[in-house]
Parts: sequence; structure tokens; C-alpha cells
Amino acid sequence: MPENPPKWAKLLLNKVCNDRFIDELEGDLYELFLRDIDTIGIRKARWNYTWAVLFSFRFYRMKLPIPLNIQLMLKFNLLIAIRHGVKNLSFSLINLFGLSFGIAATLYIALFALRELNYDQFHENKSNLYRAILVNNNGSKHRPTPSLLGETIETTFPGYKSCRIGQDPIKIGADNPLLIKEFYWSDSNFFSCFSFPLLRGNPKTALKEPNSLVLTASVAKKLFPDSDPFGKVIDVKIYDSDKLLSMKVTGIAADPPNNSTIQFQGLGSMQNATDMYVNLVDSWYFSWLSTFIRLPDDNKSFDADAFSDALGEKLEKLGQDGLNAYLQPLTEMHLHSKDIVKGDAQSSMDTVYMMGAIGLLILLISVLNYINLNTARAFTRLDELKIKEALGSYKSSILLQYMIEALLYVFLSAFIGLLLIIILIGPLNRLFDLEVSINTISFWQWFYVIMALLVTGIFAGTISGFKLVRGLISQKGLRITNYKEKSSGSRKILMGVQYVITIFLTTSTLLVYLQFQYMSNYNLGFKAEQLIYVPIDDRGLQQNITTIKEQFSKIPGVVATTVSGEKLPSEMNNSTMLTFDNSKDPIGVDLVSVGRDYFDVIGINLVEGRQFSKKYEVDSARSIIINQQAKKLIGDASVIGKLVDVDGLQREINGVIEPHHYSSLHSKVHPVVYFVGGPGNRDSPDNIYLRIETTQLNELYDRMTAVWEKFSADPIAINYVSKDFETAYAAEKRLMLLTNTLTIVAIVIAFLGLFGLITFMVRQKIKELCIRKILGAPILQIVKVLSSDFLLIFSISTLIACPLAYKFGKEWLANYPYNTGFDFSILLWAIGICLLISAIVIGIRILRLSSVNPAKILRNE
Amino acid sequence: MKGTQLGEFEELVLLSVGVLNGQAYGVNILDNILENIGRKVTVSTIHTALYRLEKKGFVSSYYGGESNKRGGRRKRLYEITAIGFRTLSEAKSQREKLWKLLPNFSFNYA
Repeated sequence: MPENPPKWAKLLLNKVCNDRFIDELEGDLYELFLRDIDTIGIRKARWNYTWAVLFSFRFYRMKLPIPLNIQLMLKFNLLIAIRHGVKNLSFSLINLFGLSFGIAATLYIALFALRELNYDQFHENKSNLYRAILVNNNGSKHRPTPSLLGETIETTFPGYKSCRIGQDPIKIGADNPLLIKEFYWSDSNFFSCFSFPLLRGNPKTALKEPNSLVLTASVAKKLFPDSDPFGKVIDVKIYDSDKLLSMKVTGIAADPPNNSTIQFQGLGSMQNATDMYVNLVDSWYFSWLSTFIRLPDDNKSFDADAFSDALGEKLEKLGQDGLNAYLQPLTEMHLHSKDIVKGDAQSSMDTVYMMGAIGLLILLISVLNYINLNTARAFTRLDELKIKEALGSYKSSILLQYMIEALLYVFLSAFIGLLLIIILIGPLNRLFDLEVSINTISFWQWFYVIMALLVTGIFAGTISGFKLVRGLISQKGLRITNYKEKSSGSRKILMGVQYVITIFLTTSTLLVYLQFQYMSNYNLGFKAEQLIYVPIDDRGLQQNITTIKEQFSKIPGVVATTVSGEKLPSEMNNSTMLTFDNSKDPIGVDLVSVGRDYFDVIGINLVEGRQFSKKYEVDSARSIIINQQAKKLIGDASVIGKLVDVDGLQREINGVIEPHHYSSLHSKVHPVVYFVGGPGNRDSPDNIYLRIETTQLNELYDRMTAVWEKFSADPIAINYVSKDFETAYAAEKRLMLLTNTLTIVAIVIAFLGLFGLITFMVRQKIKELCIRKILGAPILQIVKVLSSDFLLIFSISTLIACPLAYKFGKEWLANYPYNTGFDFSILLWAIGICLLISAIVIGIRILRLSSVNPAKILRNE
Repeated sequence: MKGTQLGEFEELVLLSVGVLNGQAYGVNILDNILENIGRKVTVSTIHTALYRLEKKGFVSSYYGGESNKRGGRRKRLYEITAIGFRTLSEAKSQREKLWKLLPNFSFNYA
């Protein structure tokens, strides 16, 4: 008995090769196999056999799933699909538009999500790059870090390299100076850490020497439109330190890509910063720099807990108890920084998830629509199917026909959807304030999109095909005319799912809308209306702040003026420690220097104590006023007159102000200490506030500009506090617009489907309805016949959708420390809206029915 | 007519079918080509050539008896058809015609 070839190879051969050729192929291979055993041994023979099988695949002898001439069948299936589409034009158009809108909406969301997820992914070392986030003893996380943090991490963990950058606005050029806000002092390893290409200059040495300056290509072009800036020495004015430097251009960098969180226009050597700011090198309280850490290249896994433990220990040794830091992966900066103070979070993962979910739901709705409408119309195609069956058609080929039809619809819709997006992407971007682009999709992403469409088409086609084929089996014989669908249970379920999604989306969009309204109309605790401020970024000009303020106050229409070190909404740039009891831990507070009459001007009352004490007229920083949050932490019943140590200086608490929100409602109100500061320091007042009461705004602006131009060559910036608070909610506004639009799309698609279904139902029951009419049934009864099913489905859907909407709504609201709360009336509103639109859709159809002459319909009977 | 052209490898296979005289099938065509021409090909290649030749009408096939030697599978035997033979001889005469036209110096390369 000779040995046998591998069993699986033989099986594969029989699976792949069709009957016409299997004898020849398998026989010949077996013969060769037997010969091989004799000549080269069993092992090699089996090996040869397997290879021969694997390479024996040829199209002409492939086993076909359906034994038909594929070309011909495809052609006729397409023809049938097109003829059907034209015959039932209204249905096909509903199908087509539903799918197109669904695909367009999903595509736009996919583009949006891809853009968000692609942030900072272009760095070559991204897996080893982290951002160090400072954690205070009260647990709050801060992006600004002291310069010592990077050094401490480097010494504690050998091989770790830190790259620190600190933002500092500058003005470049002597006669026509250019203000550059996104200017950073940076460590010299900037270009070896990040993958920002340097067009000119040496990336290793460009930032090494003090006074070296790297500009981006666009800034360089603006400064030197005609000449080559490289190697030139130019005057640079540093706003914050009020210094004038001569810096040499040692590099020209490409503009950072749009999907980079780090957006710089210029870079300077960190050496300059440490020379200018005395405390920067050795103070743990000077939190300003962003610290990035590059792990060694051979590092495979990073243990976050071990890192924090070791660093915490080291910091304790250095006398910084309670201070710690953690490393945030660079690629998470964009979407996972919401809880980090000044964390540059422009978006969040929640938004991406939310958008993704809405996109999928819309796609689901449109696909369900297609399936529902198709199966509902099944009976109109029964003649065709019966004849096919009678002529001996395979069930699989009928299924394939529906698949091809579904694919045709899906790809046609995808084409229309794509066209819609290409046409509408500009207006949509403007509406949502986004920069989504269709060009950013890579080849592979297109491939996935096409695959997803293919799967969608096959899914829709299979489901509707299966349903039809099953319906066909249940109807034996050729009784075509009295076909009556036995059960439409699955269709009711599909419709229910659509209703659940619609109610859910409506609730969500209402909730987002209410939250946005809540935040915009929230009582901030001070009078934000009619309050404007003028920031003075130029440190030199700040010496004159009192003079400018005095001159502003003389302008008619200006009621009162004051100064403050913070804008409103505030960023709280100056965090420090407050010690009130040597036996207790110090508390982290934000320090703000203001004018004496600050609280009067912006409209905040004191609940305890009085204004800044006149006692400290000379040494004004010793008199402080705190807010409620700070008072709570100090915990004393009466804090007035208490001496505390803030930022290394003993100060007296003179008053406590009533609660107010100095920044947007995204963040909680933190403990704040206010003091009266003079000019010339980093924490000096640099904003003039004006309480105005006038309708002649243009005149006011003109007079203010006239005053301003006496002191500064820069243009004046006039900001409204209330407007700036509004812009703080831009992300919510965008989310609201997005969810609103998408929900409307979803509702339109769902109700297009409902309209189709109702039309079909009317068509199916038209004779019954006409007889009822003739017998004198009131219109209400006809409404009842048509809508009783819908009402049942709608009620069940409501029962499912409401708890879901409640759960997710609650979770979303939890992101906001100050939120509107989940009001159950939202659910009622959502249900009401959906019910109303359903009623309108059904009503339109019934109105059309009431004008039908029953005799015409019943004539044939 | 398009599709009745004879490819180079197809010509070899068709000739082999003729040589084997009614007993031609995959394995012995393979052997014949290896012995007489010295070309090693896979059996699937030969099958494909046979399939094309049959479609063009140059060979006809019938099933031979099954045997243990083939694992219970039948042989598919091929023989050359009249039209196949004519195409073959036409190809040959065309070539000879061209050979005759070849100038004398060709011996330099022989």
C-alpha cells in the first residue's frame, strides 16, 4: 500500500476545482506523486504534491458558487435593477436619497474623526515622546511646569531626555515690527525630539548658542519677502522681560502641520530665557515651561506607576512634598487633556466617540430604511420571482440578484454622497468652524471606506434577499395574485430600531442645546455686560498703565476704570502656595494683582471684611482679598485680619468676595488670592478694564485709539468680556451645531422611510380602506387603521430609547462641573417632536387618500 | 480568425499530442516535453494549454479508464483533430518558407 498525499491538499483541490477538470488534474498529480515516491522519497513527494496543488489554481477550472455564466447574469441583474428603479421611481428616490444623505453624513463625521485622531501622529519618535504634567498636592494637573522638573526627571531616570519650551510673545524687526505670539524659548534638542523639518540650518546646533533664532518659513517670508533671512542678525523685542536682543537667524523651519498641537512661529535658545528670568532656573514655583520627555529608543514599555513613585520620592528629598508629575503620551495631548490646567485641549475623546456614534447610527438608519422599503415592496416583485423559480432558478442566484441590486444602490448613493460632501465641505466647515479636508484621506483609508460600503451593500442585500426568498418558500405554487404577507414582524422591529435611534438622537441634541444655553446664560457673579478690557502685552508699556488708564477714564461714556493681571475669562497664569498654619499643608492658590477698585468696577461685592487696607499703601502686596474657595480651604470661621504666607511674603487677609466665575464654566472655581500690584513685575497688572455706558461705540473706539497711539505703535485691542466668555464655549457651540444638523439628517432619513412604508401600507390596504369609505367610515377610523401599528411600535421604542438617552445624557453632563441637569421634560419634548413629525407624515398620506374616488379603485372587483 | 493562433508552448503541446498518438494525457505530455525538448514545466501549465487547444478545436478529448495508479481517477486522453493537424502543418510550412528566405550568411551563427 503506497503512502498517500497530504489529506488537506487533496481536500483543497476538490473544493477549488470543478467536476470537468478534477479527474484529469487529481489523477495526473497522483501519478506524479507515486513516481516521486520512488525517485525522491515520500517526504519530498508530499511536498511537491502540496506545491503543485497550491499552484494549480486556474480561473477556468474554478468551482463556481453559482453555476451560471457570471457575465451574462450580472448584465441582466443590473438591467432588472435599473428597470425596477425606474418603474417605482418614488420608492427608488427615497431609497437613494436616504442612503446618500446617510453616507454623506457618515463620511463627513469619519473625516472629522480621522482628523482628530491624526493629531501629533506625524512625530517619528511618537511612541517614546511624552509630556510631563505637574500634579499639585491638591491633585490638580498642570501643563506649565518649573524648569527644574525636566532636570529632576533627567537625573532620576538615566537615559531620559527632556525638552522644555516656554511661550513668550516677541516683536521682530526694527522699523516695521512683526508681532509673533507663538514664539517659544526652547532647549537645543527640540529638532531631535520632534519631527519638525528644518529647511535651513543644522537641527543639532540651531538652538544651541544664545541669541539664536529659528523662524518658520511663513514668518521668514513675511519679514524678508525678497532676501534670504538665513544668517542675518535682527532686532527682537521680548514683551515679558522688556528686553531688546540682537538675534541671529540660525534656522528656517517648515510651518508646523495643521494637525500638530505644538504650533510655533519662532523658536529661541532657552539660554536667553534663563538669563532674562532670574527665578526660572532654581524656583519650583515658576511654573511656565512645557516639559517634554523623550524616553530612550530601546525602551519597550513604560511603567507609569513606577515613574510616579520614583519621582515622588526624589521630589520629597528635594523638599517638594506632595508635588509629583506624570507622563502623558504626546499623541494624547490633543484629545486627552481636558482635565489638565492649560493643557491645550482643543477637543476631547468624548466628542470623537459621540460623533462616531452618531455617524454609525445615521448609517444604520439609512440601511434599515433600505431594507424596510425593499422588503415591504417584495410583493410587487413576486411575479418575477415566481417565474424565475418556475424556470428553475437557484435560490442562491435570486439572493445574488438582490445583493447586486443593493450594491448598485449603495455605490450609487456613495457616489452621490461623495459629490454632496465635495460640494458642501466648504460651507459645512464654515458652519462648524472646522478644517476637515477630503484630501487628507490616504489610499488605505479610501480602501476601508470602499470595503465598508461593500459590507453595507452586501448586508442590506442579503437581508432583503433572504426575506424575499423565505417569503417565496412559504407561498407554494403560482398563486401570484392573492399574495398576502403573513407576518411583518421583523419589519416592525427594524422600524422600532429606527424610532429608538431617532428619539435618542433628538434627546441628545436637545440636551446639548440646553447645556449650551445654560452656559451662555449662566450668572457669572459679576457684571460682564458693558465691560471691556484692553490687554497690554508690551512689558515696557506697562510702566505707563496708570497714565493710560487715567486718560481712558476721561473719555465720555467711560464710567469707571481699573486694572488687573488677568483677562476675563482668566487663564490664571500665576499659581503659588498659601501657608496659613505651619502645622498644615500649604494650599495651592492662584495669585492675581488688581487695581484697588477692581471689585467695584467689575461688580463683585464683598461678603466679609472690607476692601484692600490703606495700612499697606506703600507695601500694597501685603493686603489681600480672597475668594470663597480659598476661605473654605483655610477653614477658619473668621479669616479677616489673619496673617498668611503667600508666595513667600506675609500678607493680611482683608476681605472675602462673593462667589463669581472668573473663567468659563468648563473648570471649577479655584482658590484665588487678589492683591494690589504695581508695574514692572511678571505678575503686574497688564489689562485695563473699562466700565462703559454709551451707545456711541464708534466715537468711544476712536477716542480710545487716539489715547493709545500716544503711547504705543501697536494696534489697540478692545475686547468685550461677555463676548470672550461666549467664544470660550465655541467647542460646545460647534458640538451643538453638529449634533443638531446630524439629528435633522437622521430624522429626515427616518421619516422618508416612514413615508415610504405608509405609502406601501396604503397601497396594500387601499381596497379595504375604500370599502370602509363607501360604507361611511369617518376619516378618524381610517387614521386608526393605518396608525395603530405605528403607535404600538412607537410606544415600545419610547420605552427603550428613554432609559438609554437618560443614561448617556447623564454621563455626558458629568463632564461639566456646572451643568443644566437632566430634566425629564427633555424626554417629553423629544417624544413629542418625533410623534408630531410621524403624525404629519401619516396625515399627508391620509389627506391624499381622502380625495381618492373609491369607485375608481374598486372598479376591477 | 482571432483565437485560432497557435502559441509557442501550445505548439509544443499540440505536437506532443500528435507524437503520442491517441495516448496523450497530462503526465506523458510532460515527460515527452522534458525528454525531447528538455523543458521542465508543471502539469497545470500543460492542462491549461490543453484546455485552450480544445477550445480552439485543435484537440479532442475523451475519458480513458480509471486505475489505482491514478487514485481512482480517470485519464483524460487527447488526440489531435484534423483542423489541429492542418494548423500545425501550416505553421511548419510558414516557417520553412521563412527559412528559405533567410540569406546565406546565417551559417555564421549556426
